[in-house]
Formats: sequence, C-alpha cells, structure tokens
Amino acid sequence: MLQAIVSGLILGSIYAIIAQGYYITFVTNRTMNFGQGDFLMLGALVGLTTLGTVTSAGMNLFVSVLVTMVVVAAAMAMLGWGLERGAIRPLGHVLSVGWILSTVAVSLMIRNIAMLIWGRNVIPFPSPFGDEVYRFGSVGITKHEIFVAICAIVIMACLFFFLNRSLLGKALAAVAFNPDAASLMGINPRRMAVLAFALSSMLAGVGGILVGPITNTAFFMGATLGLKAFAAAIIGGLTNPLGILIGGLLLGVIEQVFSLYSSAYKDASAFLLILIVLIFMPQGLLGKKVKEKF
Amino acid sequence: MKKARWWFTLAMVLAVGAAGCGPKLDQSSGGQSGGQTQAGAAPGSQSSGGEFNVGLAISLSGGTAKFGEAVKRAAQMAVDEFNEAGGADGKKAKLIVYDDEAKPEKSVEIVQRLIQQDKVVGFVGPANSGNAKAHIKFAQEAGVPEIIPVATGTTITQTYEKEDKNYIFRVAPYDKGQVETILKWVVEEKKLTKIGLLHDTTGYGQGGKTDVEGVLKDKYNMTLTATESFQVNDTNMEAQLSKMRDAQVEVVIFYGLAPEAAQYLKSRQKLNYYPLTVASWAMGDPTVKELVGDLVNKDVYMVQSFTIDQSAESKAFHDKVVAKYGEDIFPIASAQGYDCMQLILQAVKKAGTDPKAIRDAIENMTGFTGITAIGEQPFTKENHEALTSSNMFLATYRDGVIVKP
Amino acid sequence: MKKWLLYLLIALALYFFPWLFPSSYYVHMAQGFLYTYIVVAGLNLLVGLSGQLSLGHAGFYAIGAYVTGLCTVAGVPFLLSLLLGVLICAGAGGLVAMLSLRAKGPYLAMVTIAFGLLVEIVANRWVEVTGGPAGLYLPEAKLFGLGLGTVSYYWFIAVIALVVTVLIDNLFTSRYGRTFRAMGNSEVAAATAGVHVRNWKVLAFAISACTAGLGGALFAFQNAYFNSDTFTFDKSILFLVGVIVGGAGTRLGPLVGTIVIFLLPQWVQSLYNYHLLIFGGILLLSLIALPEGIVGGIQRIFKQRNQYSGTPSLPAPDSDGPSQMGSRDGADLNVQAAVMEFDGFRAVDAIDLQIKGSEVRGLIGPNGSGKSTTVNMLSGVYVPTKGKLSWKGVDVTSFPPHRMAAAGITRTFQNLQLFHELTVLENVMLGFHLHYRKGFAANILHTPGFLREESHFRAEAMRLLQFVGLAEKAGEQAAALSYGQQRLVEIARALATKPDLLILDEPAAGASLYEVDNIVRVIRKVKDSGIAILLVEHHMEIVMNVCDTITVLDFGKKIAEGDPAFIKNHPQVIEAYLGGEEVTKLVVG
Repeated sequence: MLQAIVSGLILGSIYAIIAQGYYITFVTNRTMNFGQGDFLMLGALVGLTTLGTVTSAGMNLFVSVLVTMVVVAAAMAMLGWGLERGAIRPLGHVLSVGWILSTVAVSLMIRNIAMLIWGRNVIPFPSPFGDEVYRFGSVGITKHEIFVAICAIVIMACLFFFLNRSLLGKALAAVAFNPDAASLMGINPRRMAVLAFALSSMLAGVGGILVGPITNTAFFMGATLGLKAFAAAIIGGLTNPLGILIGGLLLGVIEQVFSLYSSAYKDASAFLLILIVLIFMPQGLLGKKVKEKF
Repeated sequence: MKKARWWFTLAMVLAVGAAGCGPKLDQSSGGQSGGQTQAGAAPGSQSSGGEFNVGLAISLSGGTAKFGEAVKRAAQMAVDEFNEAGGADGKKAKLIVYDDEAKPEKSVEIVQRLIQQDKVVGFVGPANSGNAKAHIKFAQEAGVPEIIPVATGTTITQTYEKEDKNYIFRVAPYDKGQVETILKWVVEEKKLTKIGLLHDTTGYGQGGKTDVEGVLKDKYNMTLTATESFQVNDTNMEAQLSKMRDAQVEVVIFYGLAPEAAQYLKSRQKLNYYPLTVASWAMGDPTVKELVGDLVNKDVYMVQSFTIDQSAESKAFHDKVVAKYGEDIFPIASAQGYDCMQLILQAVKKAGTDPKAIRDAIENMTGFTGITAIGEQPFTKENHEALTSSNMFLATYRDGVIVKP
Repeated sequence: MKKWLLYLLIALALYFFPWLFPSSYYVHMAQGFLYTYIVVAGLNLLVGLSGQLSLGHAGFYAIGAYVTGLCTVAGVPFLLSLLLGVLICAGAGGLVAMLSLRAKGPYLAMVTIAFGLLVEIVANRWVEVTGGPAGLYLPEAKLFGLGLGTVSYYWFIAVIALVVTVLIDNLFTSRYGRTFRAMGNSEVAAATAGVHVRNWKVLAFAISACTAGLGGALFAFQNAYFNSDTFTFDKSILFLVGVIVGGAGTRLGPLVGTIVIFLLPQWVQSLYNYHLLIFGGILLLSLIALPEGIVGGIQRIFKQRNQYSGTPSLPAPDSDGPSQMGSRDGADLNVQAAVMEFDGFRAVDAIDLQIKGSEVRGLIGPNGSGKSTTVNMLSGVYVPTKGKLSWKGVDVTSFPPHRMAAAGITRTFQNLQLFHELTVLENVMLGFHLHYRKGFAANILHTPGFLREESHFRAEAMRLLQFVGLAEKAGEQAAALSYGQQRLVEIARALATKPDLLILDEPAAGASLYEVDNIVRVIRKVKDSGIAILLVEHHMEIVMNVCDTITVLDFGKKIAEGDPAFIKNHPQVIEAYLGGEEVTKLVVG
C-alpha cells in the first residue's frame, strides 16, 4: 500500500508537470496542445540522444544532465513556437475545435518522424543516476525516482515563481485576464501566446526526460501519458496550477492504489474519477467558475 | 405522401434486384491469368507476364510495429534472393507491403486489397492475432494461401481445419504449444502447484490466459492461484507483483511483450521479490535485455523455438540480416518471416502462380530447409502449424545470453 | 423536387455500384465508406449544429456494435437487434449528455474522452461477454430469413445511409436544425426564446449517438467478426476529423469529410512509412487553408451561404405586427425585496418593482448600479439570492429563462446575442419556438403538416420583420447587419415569443442616430400593441420620451421612482448622475 502511494506520487508529479503545460496555454489563449504526449515523447528521445552524446564526450554527470535539460528545453521551446505559429495562430478562433485537430495533426507528424529517426523499437533510457534501489522499510525507491521528485519540486517552484512573481509571468496573467486591456498596456498578446506554447512544450520535454527511464521510450509512448496528464489537468481545474498539481498527484496515487484491488480495471479507475469529479465539480477541483455576462 | 410511395416502389425494385440477378463479384479473381484489366491495378500484376505478386500485411505502426518491421526486412530478403536466383520459370516475385496499423478493420481492408487488387498468389501476415481472426475469412474464401509469421493465437489455423482445403498456415510458436511447454516444465518437472499468471490486456495476453487456464484444467485439473493483468505502457507492475507475493505463488507465468516484460523485471527488483518466472517467447526479445540489463539473469525462463546459433543456416541468415540492415531487430521474427516467405516462393517454384496450387504445394512441401526449427515437411493436411511444442523448449538467460538450461 | 431527383440519382449510383466495380474489395470499401459516413453525419449534427463536442464517439460506435452483435448471437433477429442497438446508444448518448451538462469546453471534451475510453476498457476486459481482443463471431446478417451476402449487405447499408441522409437533411432544414444551431450560437438567447437548452442538448447527443451506434452495428456485421481493438480513442478523433475537415455544420461536409478520412488513407496505403506524416500534413494544411472545412470554405468562396429556408414571401403590407397575435392579458410583475449577491458583493440590494398592464417602465442608473443584474434576474438568467418574484400571481423566483419565456417574459441583450449563423428570418422564426406544435417525427419526415406550420411561422416572422422595418433583410446572415439593425432583429425575435413583458436591455446602444429613431418608433408601436416594456437605457432622451414611469437605481438600491418629470428633478438622481464619473471608477463590472 505504502509502496503504491509512493510510486503513485512519483508518477503523479510527472503528470502534473506535463499538465501545467495545458494550463499555461489554456489561460493565455483558450487553446491547448492535444499532442502534448507526443511532444513529451520527442523530449524523451531528444534527451536520450543528447544525454548519450554528452556523456560519451566525458562530461560530469550533473553537468551532462543539466546540459541535456537545457538542450531539450530549447529544442522543445522552438517546437512550441513553431506549433503556435503553424497550427494555432493560422486558425484564429474561427472554429472552436479546429485547434484540437491541428495540434493532433502536428502530433501525428511528429510521431511519424520520430519513428523514422529512432526506429520502431523500444529504446532503453538508462537513468543517468542508475537503477539502484533504496529501501525505507517495505518501500523501495529508485535513485531516479528521487531525482524525479526533486525535479518536480524544483520545476513547480520555478513555475509558480515565474507565474506569480516575474514580470513576464504577470504579463502572461494579464493577457489571460483580459487580452484587450493587456494589449493597451503594451503587452503583445500574440507574443504571449507564443511564450505560452514554448513554455508548455518545454514542460512536456522535461517531463519526457523524467519519465523516460520509468516508462518505455518509443515513438508510441506519448499518447497515453498525454491523455493522463490532460485528465490530471481537468480533475484539478484547468485554470488553477495548484489544482493541477493536486489533480496529477491524486490521479497517480489512485491509479496505483486501485490496481491493488483490480489490476485489470486500473485505467478505468482514472476515468471514472474524472466523470465523478466533473459531475459534481464541472470546473474541476479548484477550477474557477467563469461567470458569463449578458 | 406521393414521394413516400415513390420511395417504396424504388425500394421494392431494389429488393427484387437484390434477390434476383445480383452482380457477380471477382469473376476474374485468381492468380494465373491477368484477367481483369483494371487500369489502375498495381503495376506488375499478372498481365505483365514476367512478374507475380506476393503480399505482406502486417503492422508497421502501432505497438507491434517492430515485429512487422523485422518480418518485412526478412521477407524482402527472401524475395530478393528468389529473384536473383532467377525466379520461377523466369517469373520474378514482387513484394507488396501494406501496414495494418495493428487494427483489425484495417487488416481486413488491406488483405482484400492484396487479394483483389494486387492479385497476390499468397501472402504473409499478420502480427496480431485479432487481426488474423478478422481477415482469414477473406483469404480462405478467395482461396489465397496465408502464412502467419508472428500472431500466436491458438485457434487461428484451426478455424478452417474442417474445410476441404485450409488456406491458413503458420510458422510461429502458437500459444497453446507454448503454454503446454511451460506447464509441462512447471507442473511435471518442477512439481509446482501455486501458479500465478501475469498477462497483458491485449489479444496476446488474453489469448495466453485462455490457453493457460484451459491446459491447466484439461491436462492437470488445476487452477491458477492468482491472475493479474497489466496494460501496455504501464509504468510499473508493483501492485500486481505484491499481490502475487501475498498469494504466495511459487511461479509466475508472464504473458506479455518485451517492453512490459522489462517493466516486470524492474518491478521485481524494486520490490526485492524475485519469484521464479516463466514467460512466453517474447521474453527472449533482445529488447528486454537492452532495457533492463542484468535483471534478466535471475530466475527467468522462457519458451523459445529459435536461437541464432541453433544451426548453420540460422547463423548465416542472422549474419546476412545484420550485413544488409546493420542490425537484426528481432531475430526470431526475422527468421519466421523469412521462412514464411520462403515457403510461398518455394511453392511457386513447384506449382506455378495459381494460388490454389500454391496452397497444395505448401501443404505437401517436403525437403524444406528453414531458418527456424521448422521441419523438412512442415505441414500436413491436419496440421498447419510449422512449429509445434516438440520444436519448443524452455531457455533461460545466463550472463545475458539465452541458453538451454 | 430537385432535391428528390438528386436523391434518386444517388440511389441509382449506389445501386449500380457493384456492377461498375465488380470486386469484393471495392464493395467492401463502399460498405466501409457508407457506415463511416453515417457516423460522421451524425457527429456533424452534434458538433456542427449544436456546437457541442464529442471525443468519445468510438464509445457509441462500440455500444452499437456490441449490443447488436450480442443480441443476434442470442438469437434475436438481425433487424430487431439493430433497432435495439441503436436505441440503447441513444440512451447512452442521453446519459453522457446528462453527465456533462454543466461541463463546458475542455471539460466537456474530457467527459466524452473518459466515456469513450471507459467503453473501450470494458469492451477489452469484460471478456466473458464481449470476447475482448479475441473478438466476437457473429452469425450472418439476415433480413426476413434471407441471408445478406456481400453485395446485398452493401445494398442494405446503402439504403440505411440514404435514409439517414434524407432524415438528417430534413432535420437540418426543420426547426430542429434551427434550434440546434441557435443553441450552439448562444445558449442564453435560445433559452430566453423559450428553448429548454438542457433537453435539447440531450436530444442532440442522443441523435448523434444513435447514428454512431448504427454505424458501429453495420460495421460489426460487415465481417461477421470484430474485436475490441477497433474502438480506440484514435477512432473518435478520426470521426471528428471527418466532421471538421469536411465542414462542420454543412450538409455536404460529412460526405467530403468521410472521403478524406476513409479514402485518403487508402491512397497512401503503400507509403506505410509515411502515412501518418501525410495524413497529419494534409489535415493540418486543410485546417489552415480552410478553417471552416472543405465544404464550408468552398461555400464561402462562392458566397453561397446555405440558406436553410426558401425565399420568404412578403406578407400583406397592412400588417402591423404583434397586435394581431392573439389576445393578451397584460403584464403583472411583482418583485419583492430581490437581492443578488456575488461572492459577498451585493449587486442588487432589496429592490421592489411592480409592472402592470401595458406600461413602459424605464430602468436607469449610473454604470454599476445593478440594472443589468436586475434584468438578468427578471429574465431568469440569474436566480435571486433573496426575495421573491411573482408574475401573474405565480411565484417565478427560481424559473430558468425558458420558463420565464413560456410565462410571458422575454428580453433582448445589451451585448447582442443573435444567432449569427442563422438568417435574420430564421432568428425571428426561432422566437416562435414555444408556439410550434409539430413534433420530432413530423420535422424529420417533413410531413405536410410540418410544411404548413413552417410556412405559417415564416409568414408570421416576415410580418414581425416588416413591423420592425427589416423585411428586405430577411434572407441575410444576422451577423452581416449593422448594430442598430441587429438590435431590431432581437426585438422582433423577442416579440415572436408573444410576451406580455418585454425587457429591452439598452436597445439603442451602438445604433446610429437614424437607427435610434427607428428603434424608438418600434418601441412606441410595441407599446401601442399592449405589451409592457421594461426599458434599460442610457439615452435619457429616449427614456424621458417613451416611458410612463421610471425607476432609478444606484449602488444596487432603488433611489427613486416616478414619472419622467418627477425623476428629471429628483435631487438624489441628479446627485447620482453628477457623481457618475466617480461611481464608474469605484465599481468595476
């Protein structure tokens, strides 16, 4: 039981990191990247290749992990920028669901390209910190999971700081609150949308590096994770980063604990949870209720 | 209301038409002549004289893409070699490949396309048992032989065994054979009684489950102590394993593919619980070792019907694959794919390009030398499995190498 | 008639297809195309018309397949099983709609995703019943004891596809299609026109689930075998792609969309290394180039926006609108100490208000004084936190907008809420929602009764447009009109509900001087026809000229009430308006 909770929390924190990506773009311009899972896959694969290159160049462990993170973040930010320019902006808001499909289209292309580059096989992604298991009583935790936990805390802290304290973060919030007023104040909403997508993709990429050694790294790994993260975001409430964090952890733990009772219906537990939450709280656990004005 | 009557009349006309003189489909189907002159038909169909088509319908995307890719490479090699050796009476083979995306409905489409449009004389595929079940009807009805290189679902080749001519063959260790091999070892040799089963929720694992339960009951009158399942892409199997531990099982039978096998081995380490494990052939996928390294060495057994160095032919074949593609992504799938295609091509040499004659030639094939453990006469009228439990054995990892224990 | 000729041609083409392409592969493909088309056409109703979203249609597809399949296996005749499957799907659709009623946008998307995945999981794991990935073998489909071979099964699907097309087409051009579309454009406006939005959403989901189930059932019997691997999330996405790429909300869209999602993959089949790349690329390009879908885009290019009603004929010129529309018993509204609070903020603070007979009541006050909140309370958009609303002796405090409309109170909107995808005439026709009598069957079959009713209300709507002076704009898209004209359309739509109390929320805002004159003229005429009016307005000139009595609000409280002359000189009112500048700054929203 304890083991299930710990593993669930680790997995949940990764869901939460990916899910924050949905939050950032959603509050900025009411769109999301439905291909977040495939962005994560790309992040994992790029990270894997970079890590391999950097370590074989003989760099120190922590430096190489850091370099990998930076490279992946930069690459994914570029991709996010491209996504916004290529698949979100041209659609405008003509069609309320067009962006869902355009981001899915991009993710299909990414999946195909990744398959051509990295092959159809599952690729081993050895954790840079090794697979050693620490034992605390009956609970086993791998070194990598500790690394994930630390990273998750750091990333969440940075994200909250960025959103609430930094000038850019406040500009983002301003656009989210009222794009017209924000543009009058000299904030370019379009630039903020690009920033939001870059950030969102970065989170997916970093999530990919973290999840790679835990799950199997392959071109088809993204879809499930992307959906789970979306579920986490919805459970927590798309408009509240804290809610998303809680949603992610909750989802991770419930999945693991539920499989103690019925491993066959483990996946069903996650989606039942969503239905129940949404029936009673249509804005998620901590989502803000949007009051329409007439 | 007048319109309604109109429609009714029309419907009646249609119905009468349907009952009476329906159009005749596929009148010119069949291999030997290029009958139908469909302008858009695949280039190199029969009418060009010097070529005949062989098909491959397998998943090249989706979760089983790797099997498909390995088979595709091997099949292409077999076809190339056949053509370099001069073909059959100067006729060269052309390989037509379609991806079934691991979806049954897609599989039905492409098999029909291979048969009707490309007029293949025979084809190889698929990787998923569900896909095979969905499409074999069309191969059987059209009378085009199909040889299955990967899908292991037990019932597939038996579906039409009562028919006069069964067009479905297989060169892969079918599930029931694997299960019998596993249980013989577990129950008869090791005398273990508390057996746990861990299977995936795809057709593969669920098919395995049916066979394990069936053989246990019918042959040994036993039941499973614990049954747990997992999903493809699951990140760990801790919950399932700890339930196995709680149930005090003595042996875990693992029925899943390589990536999940790796997760299973990782979870064993994390829980510090290493039950004796016997798995289906997928555990022998080199990916498992790549993914978890030394973890494969501890009490892990699996069914195998092929090792790279089991014969001079297989060693030479493996080297050829590596030389051509740089790596052998899945040796056993490559070997089986190669044998499948070889069987069709050999049959063409003997019997020409009529699919029905090819079927007979495959069934009555003698003196065949395969890469896998396939016999010189792989099939009989009653048995369309080239690999039976007598060709299968339990292997284990020793220092990362698959050996017979 | 032209329409029926077209259907006949399609029917003949479908009938002769097996002779033209005598290959079981082509016939098989045609079957697949047709049942996929049925699903896409139904999803188009949901997404394109009612403006909802489903990313879980594979779930309904699966339910249709399994229910029909399992019933047949159990010995129920094929047709009956099919019917059962479709009905159960409708129920499931209604259920999903009920579950997701309060969820909007991405939350709604998630509910449907979760539903689809749950069905997929159950289909995969409940092996004893569904067969799971090992699949389910079905008996041959039989019609009245006659086995259906490949070709006759194709014909069977073709007949169903044709019937579905005709019915859906009829739905598009009936008031049902209009109401779905209106609801998708503006829920609140539809509600104030008397549409019970919840029921209509459920209906849209149920119809759409029906067709998805039908498609699934037809798929199941195509090969007499199917397994759970078919009903994936990808499938749901694919259906949605069909709707959007074809052109959501267009009548031909599903056909074109199905070509894209079904035939395109066939063409690139041998490029197995790149087919996702090609499919994704084409999808992306088409979304960028034609965001309204292929059919939508082409229609835009040719400027031939779908007209869902024939050209209206002008009514007799002597008509003068609402006065001819039955007897009215006059307004009788009594508001007692109504309070509206938002998160502790009192927007409206214990207001009393009486409106009787056919008076014109002005409601004025500085920005933020609670006028809009009052209007929202009276029209049922908000339920008061405290206090009581009674109307003709009935307690209507917690009535939702559509019940308010049914009781005789309706409104226009300060920020226009026209159904922008409908024509001006259709907007007004929607106002008659409460007065249509013909039900679903009549609408979907286009019975003579339905046609009579349509032309009756079209004439009525024309009369109302004449009344507000917009008869010549009847065929235009509502969105194409000027601000002032749109306000008049809203008034006409509101009048169509045959109200006893009409609430006009700043009807002159944004209108040009000429248009203001026109609006004032219309208000006067409405007043003359015996309908009570509550007028919220900033143009003091209009208020003073038109109103019998004026109520003044400030900071959510009523500070004065009386005739125009009294209000004009009321010290507190002057104070409130002079201090208006500061008030605006103090109270946001």
